[in-house]
Amino acid sequence: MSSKVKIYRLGLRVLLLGAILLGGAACGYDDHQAPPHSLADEQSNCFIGHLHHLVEMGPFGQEVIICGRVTANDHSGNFFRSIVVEDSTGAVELRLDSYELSSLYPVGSTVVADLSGLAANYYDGVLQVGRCRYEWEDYSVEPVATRREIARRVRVARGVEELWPEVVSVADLKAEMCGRLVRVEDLRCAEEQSEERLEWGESNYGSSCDRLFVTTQGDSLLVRTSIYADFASAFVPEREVAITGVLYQDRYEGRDMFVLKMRGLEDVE
Amino acid sequence: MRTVLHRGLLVTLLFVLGGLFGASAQPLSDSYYRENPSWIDAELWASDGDYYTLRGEAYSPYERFAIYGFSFVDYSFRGEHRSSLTTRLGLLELSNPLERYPDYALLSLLRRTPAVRSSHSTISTRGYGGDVRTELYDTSPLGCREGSSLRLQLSSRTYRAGVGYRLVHQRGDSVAYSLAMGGRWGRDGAVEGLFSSEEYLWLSGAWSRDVASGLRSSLQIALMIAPQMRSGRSWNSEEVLDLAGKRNYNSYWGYQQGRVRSSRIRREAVPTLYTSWDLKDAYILSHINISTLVRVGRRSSSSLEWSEAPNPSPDYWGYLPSGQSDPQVGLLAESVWREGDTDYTQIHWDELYHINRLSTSGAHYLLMDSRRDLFSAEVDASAALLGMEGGRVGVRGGVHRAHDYNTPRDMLGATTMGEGFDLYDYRLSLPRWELYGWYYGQLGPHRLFGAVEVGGESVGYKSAHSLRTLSEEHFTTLTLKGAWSRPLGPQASLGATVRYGRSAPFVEDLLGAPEGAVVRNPWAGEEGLLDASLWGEVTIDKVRLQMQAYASLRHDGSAVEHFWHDPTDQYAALLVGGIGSLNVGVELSARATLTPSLNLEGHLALGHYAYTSDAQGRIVDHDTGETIISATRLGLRGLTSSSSPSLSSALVAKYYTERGWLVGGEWVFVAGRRVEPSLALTSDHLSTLATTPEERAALAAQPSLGAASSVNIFVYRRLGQRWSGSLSVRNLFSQTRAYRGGYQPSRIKVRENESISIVVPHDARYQHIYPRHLYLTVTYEF
Repeated sequence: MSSKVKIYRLGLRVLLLGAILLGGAACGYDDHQAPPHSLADEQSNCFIGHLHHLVEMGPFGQEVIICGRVTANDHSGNFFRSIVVEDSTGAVELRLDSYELSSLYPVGSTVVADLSGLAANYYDGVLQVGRCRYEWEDYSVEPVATRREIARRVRVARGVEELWPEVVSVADLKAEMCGRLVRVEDLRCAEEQSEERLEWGESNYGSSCDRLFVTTQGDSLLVRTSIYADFASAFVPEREVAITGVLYQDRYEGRDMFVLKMRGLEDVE
Repeated sequence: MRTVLHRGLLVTLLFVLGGLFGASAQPLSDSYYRENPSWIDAELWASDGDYYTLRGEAYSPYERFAIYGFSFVDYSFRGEHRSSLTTRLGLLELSNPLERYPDYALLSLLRRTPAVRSSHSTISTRGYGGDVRTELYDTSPLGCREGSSLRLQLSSRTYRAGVGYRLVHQRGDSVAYSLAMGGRWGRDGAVEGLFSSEEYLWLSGAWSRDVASGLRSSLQIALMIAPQMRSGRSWNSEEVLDLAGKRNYNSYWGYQQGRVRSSRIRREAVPTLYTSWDLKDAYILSHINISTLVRVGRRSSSSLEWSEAPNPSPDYWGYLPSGQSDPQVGLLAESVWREGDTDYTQIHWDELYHINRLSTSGAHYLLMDSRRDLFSAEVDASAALLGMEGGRVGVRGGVHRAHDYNTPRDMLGATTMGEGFDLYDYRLSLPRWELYGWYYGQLGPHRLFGAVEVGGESVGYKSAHSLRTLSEEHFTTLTLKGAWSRPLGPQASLGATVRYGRSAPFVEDLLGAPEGAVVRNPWAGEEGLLDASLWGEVTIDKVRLQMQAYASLRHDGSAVEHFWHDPTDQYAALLVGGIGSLNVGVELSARATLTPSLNLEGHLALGHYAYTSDAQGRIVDHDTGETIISATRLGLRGLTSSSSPSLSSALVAKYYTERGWLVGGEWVFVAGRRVEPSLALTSDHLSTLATTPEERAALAAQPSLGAASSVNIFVYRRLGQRWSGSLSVRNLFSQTRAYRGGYQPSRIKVRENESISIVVPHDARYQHIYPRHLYLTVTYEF
């Protein structure tokens, strides 16, 4: 065999090997570009505070789009299937049938919500919006169902930014503030803890537990915790504290009383 | 010169075509390896008859057909969970004791290389499992037919195009080398999200010389590399398949920026080096052999994991209509599927990135890679027993190591991992040794074979994260084999085989949750087995009949099953021991050469596979090792132990025309299949949650997989000295209604029916038979 033929044969074999390696490497079945981060436009046509005027007309028939900051979600389990959205005029609790809403709508993010066709009702003083009205144990509207519908209606417009609750005294609390994130200082648990420590979510009846707090001025306030919250078995502090939470209003021992729902133990200082 | 150039251009063109076809095929799992790439492929690739030499010696006609013939369904020979098939490269076993499943990539490579052939089977009586099911491969290219060949393959299943090149070169009768390389690539034609990308390289050399009068020394070296990457296909409940509107629905993929992206991808690259030195006499009959086998590499599989976020699986039961308590919500959930919104019927990759980018506490979703870095080295030294042809004694030993760990493969837009992801890192070591000896010979009309293998192995475990270790476990292994056959006349023979053994448990059945708490399965120990078979064959005129009856008994088996323990909402491990099973059956084969051109074959196998006893179990928390249930009985007795068909049959016809065409067809039919039981659901612990006999029966129920059939056709043609081609079409009538296989998840759910709570198992998961697909092969020899 001539040397040229040998060289050509060697070259062919190198070419074959290269073709195979290239063929395999070029397939790119697992090469993927990260998608761009797309956020919704921060456009709304209705302030949250004006939703109250639309509630009495039944489900939101016309196009109703709000924009606000997420102040609470289901992260600790104290807000079941809900997120609370607040703007400068008011707040609303959106009922959404999903779990781990905290990953979809983290506290401090800005969301745009299309409420067209959804039902609204008041529960414990807070405007709740969901799929339809239903009078049931703890909630007045059924949550918006399916991941697709939730994603279509509630979209994140801006990422997490720090939230500052409004600092108020118990005496200054008003019904129209229900749903908003507030911080109340100078609170001490009014219930006796000498024999046994109290837990936030300990309840012998129902799915939530109320703890009565009083100020030095004698004003009182309830702090409500779900028995399913991850901090339900934590002990209520005996010292004076400041508590941050979403404001509600409920009847307690025959009188209207304001109620705070905490997002987690970090809301107790 | 011109001829060489033309050949070179042709070769290059074929490679480019194959690569382009494979790469451009984009729209922008145990079954994969069992596929029959081409009905003819396996036989004609080694077209000088090596295949027949290899297969015909070790297998019965039924078994030979069953290697590929029933791969359209979940099939295991004789319903075995633990394959009794031993595959050897020379005298070294290819299985890795740290791995339950065979090295399919290596086996697939071996079946495509040129120098793979069997010498006359030195350790079997004539056929029919003489060595009780041992498959032998020989890497030596010495004596193989010289030449090169190039093959192009086109397919519509698993891959789209493949190329392969083989070369065998002899230099006299003392030096030879062989080369094989190739690959196959492409996306599956029927199941979305499925692709494969495989390459292989085989280099083998053999040198032989006389060292003394009558003595010849031979050295073989073979290097085998078969890297591959392939995606997985999901198993789905009937509800999901109905909602998706297609029987080949696959939930393991989704669109990312408009391109199909799979979440379950397996990758492996385990280069293997084999060497063998022989010292033979002039008759190549009595010799000394020293062989080594070294394997180093990595296997990995990726999957989506999540923490404090919604389940990303589109077919998660909580998203389905059946998972909704409100019927109205169920209708809404159904509409998402009926409208075919792929953002929610497949993985929504863009949303996973979006959620990760919003997070201030690390990733909520990751593509996690579970990896095994393995090292394996074995050496075997053997010599002919007392210089006799039929006898051999030897010793083999080796060490097998694995480093198992997981690591994020893709952070999906996040910069840090969240706290909710569990990382594991542990090492396994398994040294083993074995003394063996066999003898076969003839005593009058009787051919006899006997073998004994005695050995031991140790298993060591060490966790890198916590310095957790387990005391080294030691096991003794023993195998006794015997075979007998004798002719009953010029056209008939009779034989029997028996095998008794005690084998060490698989590492996965010994260690509960090595990724987590690592708890030793208290019942894991040597598993006993006893196999026996009786066979007979007779040739009447042009018809050859063969029958084989078998019984296979297993006892003291162990297992570990990982599952979500719904009653306590924990991820748990079920440690099981005392598993026993009995598989019995009969296999019939008939081959008729009606005319020199027309061959007919028929195969029928009937089998019964059942557990023979209840087992015992313990349930522990996967992460902490804490006992959840210290003892529970598993009601296995009488349940079907394998989803392999209890009836398997085939009719095959082959016709050779005068003009050199080979055409043929086969009809394959299986029946009598049931989903294997979930061990956890058979436990007394879970069945006590059921309040009625009907509920308890439902927990242990084994849904039927029904019957299935497939019609396959093929055609082969040789043109002159160099060209040949074949086309095979499988499942010609595209019958996809039947199930390929199924499994029962170990989860339960509580259904509220008015004021009554009913415990029901989660729906069984299935895959349907693959639709019609084809393989086209063109081969050029030069």
